[in-house]
Amino acid sequence: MSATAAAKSAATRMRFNFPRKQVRIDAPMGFGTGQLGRLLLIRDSVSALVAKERLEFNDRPVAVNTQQYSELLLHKATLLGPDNPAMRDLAFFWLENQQLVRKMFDELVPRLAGSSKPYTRLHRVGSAGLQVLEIRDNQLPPLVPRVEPGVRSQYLINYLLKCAREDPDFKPV
Amino acid sequence: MPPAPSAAAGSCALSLGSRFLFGCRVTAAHRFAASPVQPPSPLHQQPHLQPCRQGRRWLRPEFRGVYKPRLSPEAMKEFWRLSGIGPDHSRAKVADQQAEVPPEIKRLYQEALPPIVSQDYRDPIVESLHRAEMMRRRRVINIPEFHVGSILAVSVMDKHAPNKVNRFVGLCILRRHTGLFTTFTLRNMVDQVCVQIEYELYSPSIVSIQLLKLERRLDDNLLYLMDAPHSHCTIPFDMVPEPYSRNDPVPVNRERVRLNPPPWMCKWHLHGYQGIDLEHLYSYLSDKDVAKAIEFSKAYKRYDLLDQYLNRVPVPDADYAFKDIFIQHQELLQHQQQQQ
Repeated sequence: MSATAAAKSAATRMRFNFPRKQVRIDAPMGFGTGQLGRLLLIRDSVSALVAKERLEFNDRPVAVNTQQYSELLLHKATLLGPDNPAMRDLAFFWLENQQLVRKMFDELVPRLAGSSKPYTRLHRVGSAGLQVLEIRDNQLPPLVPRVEPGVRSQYLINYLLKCAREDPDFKPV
Repeated sequence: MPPAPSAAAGSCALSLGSRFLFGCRVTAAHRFAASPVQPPSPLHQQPHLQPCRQGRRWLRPEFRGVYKPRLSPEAMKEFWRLSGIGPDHSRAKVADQQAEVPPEIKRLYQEALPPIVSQDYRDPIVESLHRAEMMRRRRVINIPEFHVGSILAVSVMDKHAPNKVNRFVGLCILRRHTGLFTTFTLRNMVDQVCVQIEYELYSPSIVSIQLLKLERRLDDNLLYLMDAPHSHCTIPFDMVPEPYSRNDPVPVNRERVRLNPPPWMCKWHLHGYQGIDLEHLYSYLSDKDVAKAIEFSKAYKRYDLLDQYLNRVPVPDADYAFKDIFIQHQELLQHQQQQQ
């Protein structure tokens, strides 16, 4: 594969692993029936996610669907950009107001465009089954404790393994 | 009246219950049920078939005695050389294809797109072989570019026809499947009778496919013409082909059809058709049906990101298929020039 083709493939590759089937949402609340009602429910969550950058859910299917649709929307926004009329139409459907559309294109897309990691992250917090969905690299207090580089090598187990690796007399069983 | 399965059949390892198999009624293998020996090996596990007037004896494959000789690799290569085309192009050759595939390839070879099914049911080798076979067939017969809404004239071999060839002219209302088994359906009125014929695009019994009018419609299929006035699909058999240019975009016929009053063959208001006169259609329906129709009009489908992602061919697969076809298309053009 040529260099440009490989680069193009890497840029357009999906960062998120989608299951083959849609995750069912039982009893969508107050948005109408059928596929359209489901879409409107998810749209409400997606706009809220873009506005607040971290959302809490009790219902896992809704959280998973919100994650999937947010990933697709942000990926398309990264690839197509704000000048594409089809993309703009899509963005205005999913985010409903100009402020959020502008935030997505001006803040979120440049922030997340460089890496190949997924755009969002879904955590399970606590024993009550709270789902927390957040957009990566946000300024809110981190949910996952961040370990500074160089600290992990000082953990006892890692130090012992390092010594074992460097010891010429040590042979693993 | 066939005898009921024996009581010991349930405990027998070979119990098959009662079911129909190729027109025969299959009962439990009771001939082994009463014997004191262990259940026999799977090789002897044949269902006991009761004779039935429409029945056919079903033998396990190892007993059928149909042995097909394997071709040696040399014979295979000789066969590909004589036929002039083969899966000679490797993945590297397709990957090296730097030039952009022109849009006319995507118009001409719509059936080269892989099918939209789960990844478990897709085999890239089978798809590659289909594409090679499709291009091989295209060396023999010219298959024009056409869409749903175009008018075609198809001649098939027919041993009972006076000239051994049967010609049918019709409007293409449907294009189904992908690869070598692509089919299309033509519809026309013959002696005040509606006739729909489905042809396989790459069938060897097709003598010629002639394009009389190149046109597109607003929908993927025109099945609603079954409940429309017959004037919409009456095409004269002596129609003169209209010239078209490959470089021009395909003309779109934005006609909106008025359906006949119900009862209909299908609930046409629930499929999101754009080619039906919707105001006229809704005048036949109750308020509840109209609300349902609007919900099903699928205007929201263009915003459903996940549906689009799951139900469309992945972009790399589509690109690979069209690049593969493009290389073989160029070889086809060279072959045609050599023939002349």
